[in-house]
Amino acid sequence: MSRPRYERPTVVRHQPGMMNKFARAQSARPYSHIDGVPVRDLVEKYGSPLFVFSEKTLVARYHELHDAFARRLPRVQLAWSYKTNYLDAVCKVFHREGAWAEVVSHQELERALHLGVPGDEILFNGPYKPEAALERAFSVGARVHIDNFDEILRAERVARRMGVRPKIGVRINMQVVGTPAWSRFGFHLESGQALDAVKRLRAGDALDVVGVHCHIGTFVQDVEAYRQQAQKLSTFANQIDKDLGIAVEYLDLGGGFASRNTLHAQYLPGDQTTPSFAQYAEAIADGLSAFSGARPPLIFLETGRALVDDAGQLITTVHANKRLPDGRRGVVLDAGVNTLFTANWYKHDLVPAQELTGTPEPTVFYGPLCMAIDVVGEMMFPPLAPGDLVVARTVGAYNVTQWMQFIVERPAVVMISRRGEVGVIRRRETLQTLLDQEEVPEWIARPTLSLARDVATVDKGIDKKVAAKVVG
Amino acid sequence: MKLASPQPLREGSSTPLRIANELAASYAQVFFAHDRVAGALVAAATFSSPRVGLAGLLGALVAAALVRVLHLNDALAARGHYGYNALLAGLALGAFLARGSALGPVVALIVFAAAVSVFAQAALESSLGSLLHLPSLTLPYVIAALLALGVAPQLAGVSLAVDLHATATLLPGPLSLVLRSLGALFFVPTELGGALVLTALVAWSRVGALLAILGALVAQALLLVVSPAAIPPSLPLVLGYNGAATAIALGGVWFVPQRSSFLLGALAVTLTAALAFAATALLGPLGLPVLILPFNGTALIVLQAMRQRTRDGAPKSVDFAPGTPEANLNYYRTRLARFGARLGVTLRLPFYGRWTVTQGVDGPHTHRGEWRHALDFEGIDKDGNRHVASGAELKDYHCYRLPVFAAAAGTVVSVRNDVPDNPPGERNAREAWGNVVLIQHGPALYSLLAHLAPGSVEVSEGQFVTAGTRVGACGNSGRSFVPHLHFHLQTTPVVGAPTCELELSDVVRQSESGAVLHRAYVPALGDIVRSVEPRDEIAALFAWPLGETRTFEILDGDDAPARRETITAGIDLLNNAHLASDGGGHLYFERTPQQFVTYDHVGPEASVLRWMYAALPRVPFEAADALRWDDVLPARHFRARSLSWLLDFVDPFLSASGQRLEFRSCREGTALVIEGTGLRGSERIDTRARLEPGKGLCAIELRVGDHVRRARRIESGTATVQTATTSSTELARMEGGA
Repeated sequence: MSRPRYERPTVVRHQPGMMNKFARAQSARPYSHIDGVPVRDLVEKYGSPLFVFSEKTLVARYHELHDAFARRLPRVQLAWSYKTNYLDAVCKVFHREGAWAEVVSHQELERALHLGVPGDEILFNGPYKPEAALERAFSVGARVHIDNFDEILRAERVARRMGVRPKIGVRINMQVVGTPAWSRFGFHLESGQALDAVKRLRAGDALDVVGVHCHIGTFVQDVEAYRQQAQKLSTFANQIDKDLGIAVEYLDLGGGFASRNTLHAQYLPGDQTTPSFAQYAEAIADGLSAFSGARPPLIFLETGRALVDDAGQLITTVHANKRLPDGRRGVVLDAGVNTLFTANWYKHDLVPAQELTGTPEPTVFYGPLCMAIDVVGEMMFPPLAPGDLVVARTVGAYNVTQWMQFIVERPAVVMISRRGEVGVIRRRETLQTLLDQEEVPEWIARPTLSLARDVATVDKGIDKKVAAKVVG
Repeated sequence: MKLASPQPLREGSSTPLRIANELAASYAQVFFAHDRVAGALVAAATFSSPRVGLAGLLGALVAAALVRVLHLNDALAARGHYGYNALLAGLALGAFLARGSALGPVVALIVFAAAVSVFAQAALESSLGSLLHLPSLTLPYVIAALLALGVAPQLAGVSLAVDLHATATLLPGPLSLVLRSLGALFFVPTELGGALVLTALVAWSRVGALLAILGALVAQALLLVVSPAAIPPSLPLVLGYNGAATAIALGGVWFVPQRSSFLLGALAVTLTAALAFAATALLGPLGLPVLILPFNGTALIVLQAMRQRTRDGAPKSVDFAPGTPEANLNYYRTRLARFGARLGVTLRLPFYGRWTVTQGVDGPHTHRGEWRHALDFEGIDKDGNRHVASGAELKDYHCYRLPVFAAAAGTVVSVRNDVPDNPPGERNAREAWGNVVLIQHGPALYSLLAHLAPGSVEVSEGQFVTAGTRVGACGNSGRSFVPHLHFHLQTTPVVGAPTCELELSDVVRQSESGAVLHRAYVPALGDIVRSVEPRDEIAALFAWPLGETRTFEILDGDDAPARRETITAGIDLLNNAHLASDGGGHLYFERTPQQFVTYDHVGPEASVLRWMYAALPRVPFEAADALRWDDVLPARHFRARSLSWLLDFVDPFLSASGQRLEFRSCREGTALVIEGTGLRGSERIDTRARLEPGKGLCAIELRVGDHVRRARRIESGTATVQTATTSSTELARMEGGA
């Protein structure tokens, strides 16, 4: 039995241009199931908001990427970018499918080792690698990508102290078409700094340069940039082979492939502008044909966002409606930018989880924070009622690593298996989770009647000299 | 015989010892053996008639002397290559010259005949050998003996024996005849002589002995169809020993001993019998014996005829360094089980990454009739789609313009590069194959890559390509509705010729449950296949520099060190890489870019080398935990020695009986662990090997039932350096020598 839904009356200002030339009517397609599991059931069982990951999509995207490159290049290895999403279950799925680990901190390195990733299948990037991290990396055989001259000194010192001769890569940055120079990481190619770094490493004679790494940027939608990157990397490898006799074993092209999200600054929707993995692969394979070494290098890809974004969704519940002074509808959701951090970057694709009727009107989605910045998105949406579910799609990247703990606990994360089973991969935080980290020093907790009495106690109980020493 | 011995030559022995070895080898060589013990037993058999024995020995000694005077190839001589014909000539004269003949002329005749044998052998091996690639067999001796026997009656004081073949018999007819036939091979046609020869045969090869008896019996059986009056008295024995020699040679030496080779041997004996009748009719009136001429005729005819087959199947010729019939059978079975290699050329998948077979052999669309042995490959995604978007444009297809490679090294014999691509859904029936590259990989073996994209072909006719050379890109030209790659093998250099059987090596088949590495495989419809994805880190674990010595500690049941074994990496004169143990024995291996593979282990069972052979017969340099593979080890390695001799007699008639083991690898930190399991009857076989960076093999364990063998590597500081130095000196000497 279903009673007709109550439709809230709306007054919509007549406005031209609602349909655009791409005919992408921003209508509300109901998205009631994720991999066959009803969204409503998930919320009832695991609460709202709720992150849901699809194992099927993770695996499919991994193989789409791997196939695109492995069919064009003799040797390809994907390294899962931990910072994008380092939930154990997500990492495990990628490692099971064959990915190595790409880590950027001591903590991520330990995470990878804890998951059983062999040390020699870990790539260690990032501008901040303290000695302890380098020592750990060298001892497990991880591949460190050197970022700056100080790190050369530090890494040499650590290697000498340990009596080992690690194989390392050199991170370089370069100018390529269309992207802002990602120049704060690694050594600059065009200025000759990269070549200097390799010369310096060779002169240091403590580390073996076996690879070159370069990450040209993030959310790069122009495959031409990658063609140039691959070509410049190859030319650089040729040069150090010819000039310095260093034949690299691998080239690491970093990540940066765009997902199907739409940036705030973008006019066209992401699923129309983002190149396919095959298009990226074609450009890169073409660029790599400039490599002239005897043996084709192993190619690393550290794609994060484009692999995991599609696989994650966030289910939220409508808490309240309000009418804004400018006539737009405001909707308060139970998840805001604290949970959906990427709302700062993308026009998120929000869809209702149930059939909605009524006339779409401009709607602003707010989160639960009492802060003005807490805007999840704005789009044409039919009227919603409290308790309705709204799903933010394509949110698998960065959210569960960059989410904030602010005034509410972070929600649970579940994964749906390829056979449709649902498993919790991160429990909802509780107050206890947070309190567990906190401590109240003894002097705050101690029951006191008055300050005077407190001081008197001290005067009596402790030798004055000792007290003076402590104070001094 | 022109058969290369796989056994390493013993060096540094004294001249008398060398000559003694050479003589023993000459005796054994008559039935293709290199076995010194068998040689000694045969020599003993010849001395059952001292006169014959002495005459034979004299012949062999003459050859040994002549080889040195003439500076003939001493490696060949050491294997009895020149001696066996001279030996036979001596034996023949010893038997055929009458007892009362004067000693002087007899000795002179023997020396003459032996010398002629050596000359004829040298001459024939160069002409028959280099011209027709045929062995000279015992023809040199037949020529020499007939010459000497023809001359003999002319000499004063010399006469020919009247009836060689009349000897007293104790045993029942057929058995006696078989024994005397075997004895007659060495001109001691007595039951005692025959029994000794049979003992020598059994010591050398059980299969060989069985074949010899079979040959002699078939020859006798053939006499039953001839009217007794037409049979000359000497013929039964002549048939017997010619039949025995024919059956050994064709049934087990030149062909792998199996049902089909036994049949070939038996059929060839009928030809031998016919030739024997003919030769007797020709030579009899001249007063000359037929000797072993019928066998020679048969062997040369059959061998040359069998070589004209387009596919070397049943019986399978011995196309490798031969050993005993048992060794031939074992080697062939192991090779077939472990490497496939029916084609003689290793073909790899002609693309990178994972592709799906969308039409297999005997496919429903075009792989029929003359073109049935063909494969179509397409790039299919995880959802089973061959294209993105609507598939209305060629560029939507996953495999369109993907690179295509030569499956093996060869010469490009035909290229087409100008047929336009069809729009999806359309075809071009006039130029059905579209753009093609046809590559010749060997005699009568060509591979065709078809439907390539126009303008994508990067090779030209006459160009030599290596395996993995990029030849073009996948397209949609010719009779092709959607972009795909057509691959087949054919025997002629014409595009569109009928296809022939194919088999691809080292194919990884991917499925939901994991990946399986197939050593030799014919991909079937729906298979998702790729090549091994080798990793440098894994390959490095299997590096064992030439000359480097490593010490292992063999542990007893309580894990306490029992003894040590030192193993050194070396390379032999034929460029076979091997590991040699100080406890004796060699493990032959190869490290290709894709995998580590062992070929054979020769030596004692209680050796780390044998356990390596069992635990690491092959390791792909891929670290995927989901990858599984199996391998088949020779069953003889798992048999008791006593049982093994008995089994030898029936082995050729049993289906292949290797020990199958299934392997998987996993990482433990940066270490690699290879685990294998198998079943021997109801007993479980478990193997485990652990390799670590910078150290290679660290620990190895072989468990058969309750029986455990365990060893671990120990570092041996200065000793390592010392031994390595010695080895490199040896190596330098060896290279200088080569």
